[in-house]
Amino acid sequence: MLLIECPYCGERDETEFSYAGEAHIARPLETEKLNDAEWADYLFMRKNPKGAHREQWLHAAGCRRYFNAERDTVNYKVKSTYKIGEQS
Amino acid sequence: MPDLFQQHSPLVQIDFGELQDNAPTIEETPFLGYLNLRGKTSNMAFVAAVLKVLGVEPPTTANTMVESGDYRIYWLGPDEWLVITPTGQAGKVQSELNAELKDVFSSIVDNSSGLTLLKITGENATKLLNRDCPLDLHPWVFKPGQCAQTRFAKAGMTIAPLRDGSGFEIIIRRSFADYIGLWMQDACVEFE
Repeated sequence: MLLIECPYCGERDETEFSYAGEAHIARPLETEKLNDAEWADYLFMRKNPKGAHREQWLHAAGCRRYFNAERDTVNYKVKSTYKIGEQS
Repeated sequence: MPDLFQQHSPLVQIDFGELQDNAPTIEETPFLGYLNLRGKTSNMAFVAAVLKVLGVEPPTTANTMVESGDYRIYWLGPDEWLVITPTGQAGKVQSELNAELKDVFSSIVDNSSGLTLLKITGENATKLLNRDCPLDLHPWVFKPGQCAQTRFAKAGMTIAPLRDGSGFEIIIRRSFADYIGLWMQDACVEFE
């Protein structure tokens, strides 16, 4: 059983959470000026690192808030979690 | 306003009266009023309006609940609360809140027909719930005044310890009540 710390609720069981993709992807400001490759890069292309990865998680069965987490993809250790809009 | 004589408890088919000797006592309190309240506590007008109607400010500490007269307010999220009212009063409270919050960024949704409440008491109450609830329910950790949203047998529930320490109350979805009731009946077989 893995415990993940929700920035609002504290440590909770992993089964209460769901993964919500890579974090810190900013939507381009002037999307009409992008070419197809740049737009596709924003929409579809994601990092797949071996090691530290910043991700969004959702406390689905708890407070239902999204937050950011830094997780190591090799050993699944969640190093830190922080609210959306904050820097860890 | 629904006719209360036409309402059926979602657990009408389940008899918790004939559980095993050492099983916890399971009782349903049906037909309470449930309002989902959302707003920003940084907005003083919102806090003042809630205080005026419910007699208490919405709790800002995560996973806590407050009582005020007949009302109970559960923290559900940083800008979300569950207000429990006595039977038949949800509509009245909702319209009072609506009137006070008319010009305030907020939302009030009546969830009364969607939820029901179970009280689980007795020495094996914690054991029964921890059959499939990942939360630590020990009274050192989970004290009266606290509440939590989590899962029981894969279904969502909101749980709070009772003030007198005799057990817990859990708020579950009406549509999952039959499933949870049957699950609990089955889980009680071992408490003979």
